[in-house]
Amino acid sequence: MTAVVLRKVVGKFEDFDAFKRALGSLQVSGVPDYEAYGPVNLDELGPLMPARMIPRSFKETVVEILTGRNVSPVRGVATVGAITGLCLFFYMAVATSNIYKLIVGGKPPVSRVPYVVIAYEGTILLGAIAAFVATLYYARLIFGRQAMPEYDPRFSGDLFGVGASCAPEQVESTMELLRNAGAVEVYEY
Amino acid sequence: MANGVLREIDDLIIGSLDRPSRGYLITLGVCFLMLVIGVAAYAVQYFLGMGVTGLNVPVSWGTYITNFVWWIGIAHSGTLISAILFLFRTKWRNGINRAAEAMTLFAIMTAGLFPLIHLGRVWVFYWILPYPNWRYLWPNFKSPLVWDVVAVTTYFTVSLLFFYLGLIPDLGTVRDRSEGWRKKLYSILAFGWTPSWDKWRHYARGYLALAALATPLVISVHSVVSWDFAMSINPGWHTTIFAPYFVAGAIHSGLAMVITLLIPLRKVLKLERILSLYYFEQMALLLILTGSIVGYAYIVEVFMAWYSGDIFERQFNVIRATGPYGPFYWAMVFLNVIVPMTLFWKKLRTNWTWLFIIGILINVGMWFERFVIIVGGLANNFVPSSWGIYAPRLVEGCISLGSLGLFLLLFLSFVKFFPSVPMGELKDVALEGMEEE
Amino acid sequence: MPLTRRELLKGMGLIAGGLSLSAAGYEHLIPFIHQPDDLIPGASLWYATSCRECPAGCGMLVRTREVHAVKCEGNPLQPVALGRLCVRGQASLDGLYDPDRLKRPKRRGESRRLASVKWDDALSELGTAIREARGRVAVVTDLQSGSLDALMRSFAGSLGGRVVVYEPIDYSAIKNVTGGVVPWFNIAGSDFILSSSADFLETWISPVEFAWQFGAVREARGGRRAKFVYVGPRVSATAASADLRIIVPAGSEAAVVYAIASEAGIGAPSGFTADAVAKRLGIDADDIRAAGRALAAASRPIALPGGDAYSARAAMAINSARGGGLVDTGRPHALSLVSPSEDMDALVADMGAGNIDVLIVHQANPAFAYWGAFVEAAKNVRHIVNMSPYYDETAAIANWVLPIDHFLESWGDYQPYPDVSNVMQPTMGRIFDTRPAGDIFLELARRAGADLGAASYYEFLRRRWGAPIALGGEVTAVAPAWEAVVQVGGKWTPSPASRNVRPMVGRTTNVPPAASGASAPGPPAFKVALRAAARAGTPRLDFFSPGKDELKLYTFPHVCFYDGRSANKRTLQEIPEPVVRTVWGSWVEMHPETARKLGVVTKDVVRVTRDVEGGGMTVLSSQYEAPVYVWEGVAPGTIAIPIGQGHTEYGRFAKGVGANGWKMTPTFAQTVRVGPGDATLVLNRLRGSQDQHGRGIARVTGLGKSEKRDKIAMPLPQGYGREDFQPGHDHDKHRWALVVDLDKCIGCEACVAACYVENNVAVVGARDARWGREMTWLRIDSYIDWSQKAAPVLFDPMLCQHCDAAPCESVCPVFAAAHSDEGINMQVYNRCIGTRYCANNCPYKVRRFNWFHYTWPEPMNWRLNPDVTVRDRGVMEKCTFCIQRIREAEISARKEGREPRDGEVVTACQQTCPTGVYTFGDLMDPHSEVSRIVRTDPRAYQALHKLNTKPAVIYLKRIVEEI
Repeated sequence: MTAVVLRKVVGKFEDFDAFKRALGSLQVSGVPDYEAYGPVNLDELGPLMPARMIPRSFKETVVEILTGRNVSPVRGVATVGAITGLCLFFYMAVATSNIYKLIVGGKPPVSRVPYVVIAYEGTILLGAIAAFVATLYYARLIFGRQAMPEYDPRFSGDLFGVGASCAPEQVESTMELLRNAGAVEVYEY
Repeated sequence: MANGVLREIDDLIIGSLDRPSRGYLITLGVCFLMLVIGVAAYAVQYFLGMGVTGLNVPVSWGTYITNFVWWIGIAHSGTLISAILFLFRTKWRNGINRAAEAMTLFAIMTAGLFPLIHLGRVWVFYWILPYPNWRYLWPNFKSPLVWDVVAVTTYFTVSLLFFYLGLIPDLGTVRDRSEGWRKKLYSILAFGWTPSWDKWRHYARGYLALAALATPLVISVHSVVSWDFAMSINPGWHTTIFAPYFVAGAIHSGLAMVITLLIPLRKVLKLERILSLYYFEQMALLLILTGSIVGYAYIVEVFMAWYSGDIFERQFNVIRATGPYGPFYWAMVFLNVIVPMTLFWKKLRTNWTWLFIIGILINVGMWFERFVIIVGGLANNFVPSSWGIYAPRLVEGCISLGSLGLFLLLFLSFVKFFPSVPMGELKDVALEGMEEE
Repeated sequence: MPLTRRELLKGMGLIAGGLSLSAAGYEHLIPFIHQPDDLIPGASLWYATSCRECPAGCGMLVRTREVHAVKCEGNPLQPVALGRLCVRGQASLDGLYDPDRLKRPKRRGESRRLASVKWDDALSELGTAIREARGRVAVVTDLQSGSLDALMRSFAGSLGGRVVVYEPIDYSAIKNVTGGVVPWFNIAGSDFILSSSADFLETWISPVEFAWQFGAVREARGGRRAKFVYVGPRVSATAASADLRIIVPAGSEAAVVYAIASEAGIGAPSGFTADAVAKRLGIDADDIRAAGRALAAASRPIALPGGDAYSARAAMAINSARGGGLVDTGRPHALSLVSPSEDMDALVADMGAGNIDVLIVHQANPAFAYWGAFVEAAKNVRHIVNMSPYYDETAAIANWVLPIDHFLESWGDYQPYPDVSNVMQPTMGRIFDTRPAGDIFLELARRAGADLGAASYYEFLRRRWGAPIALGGEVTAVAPAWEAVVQVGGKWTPSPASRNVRPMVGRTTNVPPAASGASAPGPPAFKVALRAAARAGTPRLDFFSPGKDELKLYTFPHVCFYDGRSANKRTLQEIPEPVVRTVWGSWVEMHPETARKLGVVTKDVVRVTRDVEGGGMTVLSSQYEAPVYVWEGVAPGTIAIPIGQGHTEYGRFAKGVGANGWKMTPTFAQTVRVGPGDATLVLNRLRGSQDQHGRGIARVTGLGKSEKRDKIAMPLPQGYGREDFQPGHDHDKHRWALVVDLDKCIGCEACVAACYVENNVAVVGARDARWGREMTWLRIDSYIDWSQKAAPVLFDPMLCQHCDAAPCESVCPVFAAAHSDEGINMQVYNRCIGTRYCANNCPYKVRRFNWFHYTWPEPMNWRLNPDVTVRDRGVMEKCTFCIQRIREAEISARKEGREPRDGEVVTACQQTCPTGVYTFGDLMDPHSEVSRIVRTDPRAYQALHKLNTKPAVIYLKRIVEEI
């Protein structure tokens, strides 16, 4: 494949709707890739973003995990962690009571019912830890961060931003597109 | 214009983080003094023995365990408000969940101290933890106390993660708006967060997963705490209703505590415009519900005692209502069930002073409830010849005071270092509001 | 200066001499440094001696470990004890190791301050003083019936002085009737017991002997057993064990006894009909008739003459009319030797008149018991010599304080009955710089110029026991006969009463045969003083007043303190009075009616004032100040107060505790005034309700009733059934269990004391005991229900039930409480972290927590049983079924290559119980006694069976028999 130097076009919006409009038109404009920034949870913008499938149902999630297409595997990792916790804690309870086989309260050394509580808590503990770590990992927090030259501190405050990377011939049209959408500021990076 | 609103939110909340006022510092000092008193009292107990408390046989659990259950209960509303209400997509949660979660964390920390304070030989407390050792001595996983350890530690860990995950975007915001050492500090704390869609979507999934895990946890933790009592054989303790009863009670006291804390907070941090009456009215409504559940539990307890025909249960219930702990019993009924019912009237429900008072009253009432359950259940046991009575002594009082000091100290320092109101969520609400217009 | 070889040897010679001298008089005690052949470290060594805590004279075995006495048990061979001991005997080690014992001789200078003196100086000074006294010498001693008694008499005789045997409780009432003799009461031979306010199961004459006799006759044989009627002003533990209690105003016992006699057709003074007496005293005539019928029906009745002279006379009248030789004046008790009270009065008069120069008080404590007049008169005595191990009230007014050996440190003998001679031997070396009382008397006599013909008291003793004594008084050979006598602790003929009573053999394996040879010194030569004593005549009925308008006073000796000599034993201070459950102090009992009249309630503090009128004026007014305890166990109009407390000296555990009941004596039916007292005094009473609230913890059944047996959930695999969620578990070899027979329990607290001593149970003091922190592993609960006429008071020994499905175990987070494979509920002190959940979850509330770091002040720590761990602060503890004794038996069995025999393991409580309440054994052995009882006895039940904890402690219901 011939190496094409992609160029970045940045557009900043004050109005959330304009921002969404811009994303919508970018999606159809054939720009290879673009990223959205904003101080509010942008999770809902999935449909307006470049073709990266957002899991909408449990079935899809499972498919993603199995096919390794790995869209947002956080929940999957959490599930795995939870199951691990379940087994691990139940095993701990059973194994440790078998060491001395002490009889208390006239019960056999291993009594399953009480251990359910232990296993239950273990499930949640490991599940939660897994979810947290997975989030940090996939969102590339702490673990290696990617360069975001176009990032503007105000994106975390009151501005919405679009950073589109497009082929040289697309730059003009993209900037135009963003202006039409109602960007307060557009420049090529 | 949208960004106007958004900027205002930032200004208000980040504004609450700068230089503390004099009143704030004085309060801080008072709390610290309380803590010192508590520590001193504990030193006395540590070196002389548990005998300095009012404990005895048959009542060998008293104020400390009462405090433990009470604090754990307070710890519950936080996760309730953030996790459960999040799953239900309840809009009014967004204003207050941060403060509630922080309260949860600090309440657990405080609660966690009491089992240790209560131990006869605290210097070997770690024998209760499941850790590998060359003697292969492990705890007894049949014991409700070990369940407690597992449940409470889990609860603390998960609440911490949940709390911090929710905090990350706001930390990013604060970082972007501050200079100097604060910037450095918050850059570290924010884990290099940038609000790009690619991060947001993983973040959203993670947050959802944690909420989904935290919800059953909330229910389980206080159930386990209640089983400390329900798993025993004592009349007044050995009851199947305890788990739901305690969970409801926990949420009851937790909400009350949130109200009690936030009403002064919004004044001190000048957040009146953000923490509007709306949120408090919602909580007040929830209080009516929890209050009714608790009241129902009280009734069922007595009914079952009568219906079971068990002589121990019957006599116990009579003694509890008429005996030395009778006043506490009736006080708890009044404060936890009757008083919240006044919130049916919108006038009272929307009255700041009354809300604040009711918050305190319910907290007192819930302490009485735990006290009556624990001490009452032990004082009049199976063998009449061993019946006794318990009254806390000075040391217990001082240590309880100290725990309150510790809690407030932590909470006050929190609101000065972290945005005590979630900005991201508020912005969501603001935008949605605008779209609806 | 260079040390020459010669000098060195000389020095060594001196040292060696010193060593050999230091052991003089202690032929059988060898310091531990060069180990004697018979002393193996870790193995216990038993010495036979005689208990001297009261005049009863029970034979005693003392267990020593590494030359420290650690436990006292009854001597199974000796016919008075038969292996049992009472609460005071069990606690006698607290007296031996009393931290407040006198450590060296002292004299009181002009400044009234005590200063240490050398023994030699003290003796020589006193010797001269006695010589100069020229017969103006008097010896006041407690009851000594053996060689020491003889020695003191010859001492006084040779110096022209006199001996007054002073016992505060002197039974003069009985002597007045019998002519100076305290007879032997063969309760075991009777089928009807009438006690006229004689607490013969607690303190009266010889409680242990009477208790095992009582236990024997109350054993139901062929559906019949002895009946027991108690007439007295107060429901004591003894009265609680009766079938019928007739509670009468103090001093009116005689009237009721006469009425009963006349109902039974025994010649009684006229006018004492059931109705008349009942009407006069405001009691139920039917009770008197019922008692009368029972007495008439009895074939071998016995009446126990307690109370005042009239009551004693009335009782003895029944004995002489119906007693088939059960009251044997031919076998007088040593108490007959006690001087009549007139002698003491005369002595005090002489002292006051200045006719006494040297007054030697040996072990008696008249300043406490005889108090005021004695203390006053003592001011006119130049030399008061106090010979006692303790600094008691008399020592406080003495100007010579000579510490003597505790009876467990000394040689001696004691004869409770003419045909029973106990020999006392030192069970260990002396702790302080003390001397045998006998040696002091001999030495004083010698220095006063009178030779009593013996170099040492040991020699004197051996002489009287017919030992071969060479010239110069050196005991040449140790006669084998003497060896045997010392080994078994004396010489005696088996008591006729002990025919069908099994001697309780403790852990002493292979008991030696009863001794023969070594002629015992004949019966103590006491002259039955047939004084024309103020024989109590027969009063008219109107003499007895019910105490409606005025308040009658009744004083009773506390079961733990006898006459007060045991008050400085903190174990006894913490053991509750069986019925009212008070500890650490005194109290005033009164009936609710009386209380209403006086306007006081329980815990109010009152001052009881007694005025002795003389010639129309008050010659003496004494006060007794204590908190009130209101209950129905006292006759209306009667104020009951315990004796034994209220010491102003005597040691840290007794000093300032309670009020002195002796200040209210001589007493019986005298009237008192009651007014408000010092409100700061506290009623130290154990907490808890004495009402069972219908929970059936202590149960009763009719005599020979064949009602349906209660269900028993056996602590064995077969005990698990449908109602169990989990299957049962096996034990390997043994499953230990204990049977508790409520019908035999007389609430004497002996087992409790035994448990304290055996298991190093800590004592917490008044404040904490009151607050529910007493550490006792075994407690005697007493439940009261006055609607139950035949048995209103039920004693219920409560200890760890060693449940098979123990609620305490499963809740422990660290396995500190777990089940042993012999079924014992173990508490691992080292593992305990002190969550106290086990205590919460124990339905029987028998677990005890170490709230503080409890200590045993030097030298009390010497008493600690080396086989039992001393618990540290912050851990839980409880009854272990005396696991150390189980192990000991198992080990000795293994050494002989066999299984432990049934009955070989004897717990401390079982060992000492006078009536045989406890039976310990292995449930997995189908032939063991416990298995048999659990299988067959219709009275068997488990406490709180409903909870399905499967206790290994099986109770037998109390038998209730209406009279």
